[in-house]
Amino acid sequence: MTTITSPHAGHGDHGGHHDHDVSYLHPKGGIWTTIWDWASTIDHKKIGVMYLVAILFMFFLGGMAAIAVRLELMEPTREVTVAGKNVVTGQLLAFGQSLQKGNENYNRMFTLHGAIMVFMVIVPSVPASLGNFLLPLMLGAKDVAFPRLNLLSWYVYVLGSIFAVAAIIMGGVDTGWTFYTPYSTTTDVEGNMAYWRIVSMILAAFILGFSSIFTGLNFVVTVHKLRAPGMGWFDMPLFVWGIYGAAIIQVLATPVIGITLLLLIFERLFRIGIFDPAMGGDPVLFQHFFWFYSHPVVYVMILPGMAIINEIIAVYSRKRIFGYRAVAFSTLAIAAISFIVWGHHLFTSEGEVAAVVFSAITFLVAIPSAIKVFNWIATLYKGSIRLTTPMLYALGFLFLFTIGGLTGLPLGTLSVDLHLHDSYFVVAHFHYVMMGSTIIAFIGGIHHWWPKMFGRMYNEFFAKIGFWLVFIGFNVTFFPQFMMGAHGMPRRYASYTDEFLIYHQISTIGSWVLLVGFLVHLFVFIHSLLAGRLAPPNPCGGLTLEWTDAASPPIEHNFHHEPVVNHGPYDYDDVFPKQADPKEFPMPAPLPAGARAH
Amino acid sequence: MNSLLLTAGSFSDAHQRFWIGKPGNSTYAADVESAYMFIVWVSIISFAVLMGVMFYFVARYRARPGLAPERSPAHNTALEVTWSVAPMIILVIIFFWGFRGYMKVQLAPSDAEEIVMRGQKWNWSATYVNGAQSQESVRLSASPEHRGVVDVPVFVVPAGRPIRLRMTSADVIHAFWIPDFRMKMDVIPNRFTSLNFEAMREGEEHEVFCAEYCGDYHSEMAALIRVLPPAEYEQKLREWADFISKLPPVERGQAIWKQKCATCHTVDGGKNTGPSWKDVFGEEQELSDGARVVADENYIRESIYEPAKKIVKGYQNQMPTFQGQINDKELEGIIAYMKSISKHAPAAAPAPQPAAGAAGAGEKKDEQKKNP
Repeated sequence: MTTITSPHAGHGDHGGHHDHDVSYLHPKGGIWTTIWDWASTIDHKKIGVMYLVAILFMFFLGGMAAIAVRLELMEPTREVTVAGKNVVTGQLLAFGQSLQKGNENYNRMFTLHGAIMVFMVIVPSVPASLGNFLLPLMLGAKDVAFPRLNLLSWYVYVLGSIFAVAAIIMGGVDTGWTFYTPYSTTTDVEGNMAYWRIVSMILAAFILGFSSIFTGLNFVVTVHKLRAPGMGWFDMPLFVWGIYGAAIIQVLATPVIGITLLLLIFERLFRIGIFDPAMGGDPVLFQHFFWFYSHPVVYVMILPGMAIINEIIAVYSRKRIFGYRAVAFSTLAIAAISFIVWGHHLFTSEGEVAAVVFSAITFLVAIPSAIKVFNWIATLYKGSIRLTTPMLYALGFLFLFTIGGLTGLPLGTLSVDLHLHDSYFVVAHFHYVMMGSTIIAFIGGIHHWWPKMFGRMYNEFFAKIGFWLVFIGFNVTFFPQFMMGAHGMPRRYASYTDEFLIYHQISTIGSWVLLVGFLVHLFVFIHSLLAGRLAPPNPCGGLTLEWTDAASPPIEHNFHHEPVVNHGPYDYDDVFPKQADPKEFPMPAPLPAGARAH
Repeated sequence: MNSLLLTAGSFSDAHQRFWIGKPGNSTYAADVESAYMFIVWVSIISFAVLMGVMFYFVARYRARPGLAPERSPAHNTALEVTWSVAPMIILVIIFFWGFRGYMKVQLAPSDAEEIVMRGQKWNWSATYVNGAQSQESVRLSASPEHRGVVDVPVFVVPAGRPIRLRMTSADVIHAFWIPDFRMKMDVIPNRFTSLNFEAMREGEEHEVFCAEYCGDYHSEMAALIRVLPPAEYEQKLREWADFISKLPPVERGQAIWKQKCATCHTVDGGKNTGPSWKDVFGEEQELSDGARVVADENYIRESIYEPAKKIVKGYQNQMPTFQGQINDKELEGIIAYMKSISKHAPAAAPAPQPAAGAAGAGEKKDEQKKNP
């Protein structure tokens, strides 16, 4: 391909210091002016940062609930004879009260953990924070298509989170994040507080859905309409493809959960009898509605994670993503097939022929995911691989996602699922996919774009220590759960029989290692903001527009002049990245005359 | 693959134990285990190959000063088609393996003996073909020193005879999971679901867990299944069939309490999901709407058959109705038992003997009702 001929090359970040040329982080005045400036901003970068802060806060809350759950499971509830006297042990969350109180508190903790992590962390995580920040930059646009809608989506997110926190303050919810009927319509019906907190939690999920729809809609339109001149569909970075695929699912699937949750609230308030069998309703209908959204949304969670991995692997191995088109099309294939596999959550609900069809389609969705993994590994071939923190996270992702994907196979297998369904095997499987893949990619992505977002480098040494703690802690926590589940441990249990003791103890110890790992990362981030070295515009030598044409941190309008794209996002073989240090990123040997790279 | 597993012999055994435990005890289990172990092997091999290649590339092409990346093709159609089709073939094999086992368990033989299994917050009750119900309970335990905190029912099944559990729920959705049989099925209110199996080895005991989240005591909603030789199984059913009716009223009440009520109601005054039965009979209760009512025979009867009508202050409306599950004779037993542990009861006495006398009046009422 060719060289860079940006019409204003060299102007770059050394541009004049006019008012609109300063960094988007530059304060506008006093503290109140600055706060108002952020609260009323329609700048996608600020909204992305606000999302990042809000999401990390909710991640902390959900993580604390997880630590509480693991603590309770350190020891089973059992009667032990000590010196001739019977003592009940393992009732940590009872706080000295009855067995029932302990179980109730445990149930609230895992519901809290699930609801926060799914609705408030993983679904919005990558798209709303990194996606918001990067999508316009990568496309060479000044902002997303609907900046005001973007700000509204953040406020809607905060409103939804307030309803969720209100439900927690009112005493917590014990329905599980899945709100299965008729349990969710018949529990806690005495007393005002108890009655309303469940409505409040369901309402929270309902409201958060709108935030998700707004973001998705905004991104779909942005990708279609705001690409820089010269950027065709297959010149887009694969990050954009992943976010785009997820956005389509968000727009199409989220309304279904909205309607379902509304029906659930009506059922609770007015006893209309759709789901409650006591009034002639069908409790399994709720599961169909619920999973019709919640299975596609699994891909809303994973596609943006994969999107990050594309960028990190390409840039740190200085290689074009192997089979770009296959990766792009597999993203769309996953998005499409994800809508017709929901029934695999209901293999044990009724023995039906439908289960056979759903099992077959479920295996089909495994193929595009496998293709992506093959492509990522093939990308490393003959590269120049730098094991930076983001790259370690990307390789960690490949390791964990492969386990997460392969352990989906027994769950999609009809006969085996009758055994594994609703066991800890499922818990381990989806943690490998949601946390081991999406959250791991998210943290890798935060590190990768951290210099771009905040204009400062972070401490690589401590960040790597953080990675190893998270990676090892994660595996110690969740790998034993595969064995535990296959041996017969059901999920959502506050206690267990002694045969599962050793697995639970290993798992709980792993959760502490994980916690320390995340705290190390928190320290690294805070240290970077306070004392980090100033970041150059393109420290990683990337070829996508946020590195080549924008400052670190970017100016308010992103670019001084509209970028023109005349090379692919991963043409490291032919193009030397603008704004990068030539010593750091050597070019491959020139091709012999007449040869073609691809 | 089968031959490979056989030749691998004892290693394969130990390997299987590591991943899923010792061989299950239903005719269905071997099917699940072979499919599962096949997937485990496929997974281990694919994982090792993928990670091996990945680590090799990372080591081989690690960036060194002055070393530039080499050029390589950006795609390769033959390679890409191969790695799309190869997994597809393996997935088709896995799908049919699972499908075969699934149909086996869905289609019960027509001569299967039916046991009605009822789930409700938070226990299981089985009714056998002769109408008998389980009269035994245990604490699930690893050793005599470490045991569970609630009594769970003991069920019996015959070895080598097909059984069909016809299951339904009285309240929310539960799921009946016998891990050692490698199968589970949801138990849904207002609907029957079934679980078909045939136990193989007699003399073994198997835990049953509720696998669908159902509230406070979800993790204590368990049972124990004993696999008996068919003759012993028949014997046990006969023994259980008239066990309850032969007991004197107070013991009868106590037996029913243990079977159906103990998860939620203590008899020592301790607070639980429902009020304790200790000293409750004859005492004035404050209800959630502020009204006051004396707990007499009618109140107890109503509380069992229409539990939502009067809720004691400080408790949730959690209890399902026992209409059709507790007959008059059993109700009399419960009343007698409650009287025997209440200091307010008119003829209260701790020992079974006098209490039985006190409940005699109740029995007479029972006969009167039947006679006209």
